[in-house]
Amino acid sequence: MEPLRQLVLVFQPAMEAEPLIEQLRQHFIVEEQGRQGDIETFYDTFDWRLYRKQLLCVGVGRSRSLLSFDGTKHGMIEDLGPGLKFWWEMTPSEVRETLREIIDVRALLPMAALETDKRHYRLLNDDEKTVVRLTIRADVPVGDGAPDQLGEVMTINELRGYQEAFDSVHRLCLAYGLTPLDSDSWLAQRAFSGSPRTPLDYGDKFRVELARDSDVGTAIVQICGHLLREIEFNRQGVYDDVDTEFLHDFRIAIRRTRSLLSLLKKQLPIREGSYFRSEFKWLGGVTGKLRDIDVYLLQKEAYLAMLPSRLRPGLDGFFADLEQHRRHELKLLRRHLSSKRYRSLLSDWRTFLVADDSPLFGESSRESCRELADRTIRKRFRAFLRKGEAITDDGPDSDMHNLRIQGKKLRYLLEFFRSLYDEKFLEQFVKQLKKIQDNLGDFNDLCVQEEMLGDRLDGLGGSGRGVLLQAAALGGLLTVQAKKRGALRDQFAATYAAFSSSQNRELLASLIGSDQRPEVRAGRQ
Amino acid sequence: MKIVAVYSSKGGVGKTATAVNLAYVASRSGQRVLLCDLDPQGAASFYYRIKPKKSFNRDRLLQGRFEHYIRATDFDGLDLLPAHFSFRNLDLALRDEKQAKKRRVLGKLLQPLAKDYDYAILDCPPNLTFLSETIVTAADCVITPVIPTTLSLLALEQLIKLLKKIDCDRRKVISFFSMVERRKTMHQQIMEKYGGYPIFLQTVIPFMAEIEKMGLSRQPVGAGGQQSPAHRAYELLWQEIRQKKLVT
Repeated sequence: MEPLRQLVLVFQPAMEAEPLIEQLRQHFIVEEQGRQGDIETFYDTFDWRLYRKQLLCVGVGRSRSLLSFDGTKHGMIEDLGPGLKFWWEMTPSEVRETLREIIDVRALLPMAALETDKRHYRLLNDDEKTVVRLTIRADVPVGDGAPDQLGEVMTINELRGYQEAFDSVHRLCLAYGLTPLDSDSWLAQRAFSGSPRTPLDYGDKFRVELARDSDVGTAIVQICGHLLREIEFNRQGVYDDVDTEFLHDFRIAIRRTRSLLSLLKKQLPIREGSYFRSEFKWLGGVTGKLRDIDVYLLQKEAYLAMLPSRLRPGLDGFFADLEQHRRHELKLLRRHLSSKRYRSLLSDWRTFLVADDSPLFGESSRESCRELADRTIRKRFRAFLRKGEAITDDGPDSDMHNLRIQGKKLRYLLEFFRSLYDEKFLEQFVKQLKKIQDNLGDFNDLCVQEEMLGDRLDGLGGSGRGVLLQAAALGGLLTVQAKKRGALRDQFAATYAAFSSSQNRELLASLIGSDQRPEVRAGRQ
Repeated sequence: MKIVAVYSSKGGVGKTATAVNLAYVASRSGQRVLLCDLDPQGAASFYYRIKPKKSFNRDRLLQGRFEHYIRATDFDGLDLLPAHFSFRNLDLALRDEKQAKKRRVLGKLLQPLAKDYDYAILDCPPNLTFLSETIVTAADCVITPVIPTTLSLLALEQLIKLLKKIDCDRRKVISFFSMVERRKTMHQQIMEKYGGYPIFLQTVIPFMAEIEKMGLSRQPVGAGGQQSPAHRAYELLWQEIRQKKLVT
């Protein structure tokens, strides 16, 4: 059946709604159905996962509703507990399932709020049958620096079978002077108009737009500036322990920064380069333990699923200890994040990137970025292949680990400089690279986990049923993990052969020979 | 989409009140419901204050082009296909079709709406004709209100006979006692005698002034207040029908 129409019209400043209602009364019986004042809080994850799916999560009191950008309601959960952040804290429902798929482990944070005043009307025909529904809403954005008031908005909803009435109300409203709003996204635009955050200001793919003729210094400033912003963006979320992704993103930004510092070692002044390399290494180091624990805790369900049900209680103590350990590590990390060392590092780094007399703007950084990128990518690719060829079926696991590091370096390079190349070639190559990286990454994760589980098993002492159960559970996990690791190792040869194929070598050659997409170039002229 | 026909060949047994109120109760529980007023008298349409569009008639219905004639009621999730005076000779229009094909007509007509609604609830005219065969063939469940009187029981018997004749599964018929007046001895006796038969639901709908007054209020009993005893009775009736699994 035809979808029902909804129109959204906005009143001009200083235009009153009452005279319009009076005009409508000449054609319909107008019944005011009630007035409702609420604070509507709009929730999203820090990286706008709902917004990317064109969804709004609106909280009023203890309820959460899921709406489209145009205000269409998809579902609602009521009677939620206070301070709710995660999907798993909600009552089972369709809304929860939708959120689970989209937000995953991220917390829902209040991004914006509107103080709303809604008046609902029914327009009836002579049989006193409702033929059109109207809502007039006035919104005041909550927050400092927000506009005082947004123009009153009228939504007109069609009822099936009463098209003429809908059309006639529409005509009357236009004649009165109301103007149409973008009916697909009016609520989203309204919601965030007073928010300190701008939708999509964080997240998604790493992308820095470099100018085609950019020199190395400028490119480093742009890329590292972007990464610095990500570090600063995530710092508070890590400190407040909002969700585990803050730390994850924080660490990725640090790792990328470190990678760039080491890849472009020769292009950086010796003294500064070595200072920042060692300080960012320190920062990466002090965040590592907490992330490791997070990974285990996030895998809790997967771990439990690996074991037969009678062995599962053996992991209770294991996870309880991890939780405790996590609290301790978080405390330590908070101390580091508040330390003078951290503050100095960030402020020195910022100065290095922006100061007029920064060595980045000196003679040594004038080389064309594109030439450097071509050279370095080619070099990294060769290094990856060299290490890859050397891996044998019975070689040490550390070879796999080293290759993984090489893969990461190559991947980061491609990401840093992606805007200089043809998008299509780049995407294709990254897709191929990702396949082998996944194999290496999974293998490494299993090695690390096995080591940790093994250490835990070695450290078990005492006697009693609890210890026995835990040992049995850990033994069970180790067995499953070792099997998986073996399978990944077996898959490696084929995965590597596919990656190092002549097609992929040619693909890289085409990539390096390629140019930016024409529209990007045109945009800069 | 499940098709629920409220049917009895006898008039005045509370068919329309049942269809109107069950449709309302079902939509209140979040189901998308289309109430089809097949009775040319148009009482269900009247209760929901809906008149058909001028261009609507029997032929439009049979041509399957009736989507545009469906109208929203005042209640979320509940739409209505209004009755038309020309429905009085739906039978005549079906006359020329072959017997077996004719029986499938209604099911086919409703098929395109299957993704739009969870339930089509049919308020059927009181007769025993080709149309009745079409209705019981299309329905997943036939609900027959029975006033605890001999004539009303006879109508139920006739329905069972009809199903047998057209080789239709008799288990799709569900019946309940309607317009029950406990102080009437005959009502009591008949309910005692037949109430235990599996075809009868436990829920009974008493004779209530509130239901009678729907003609004045022109809305389902629940719309006047969720605490209304009549509304509660229809809620229980719907729950019990759903437990029969014919419509879930």
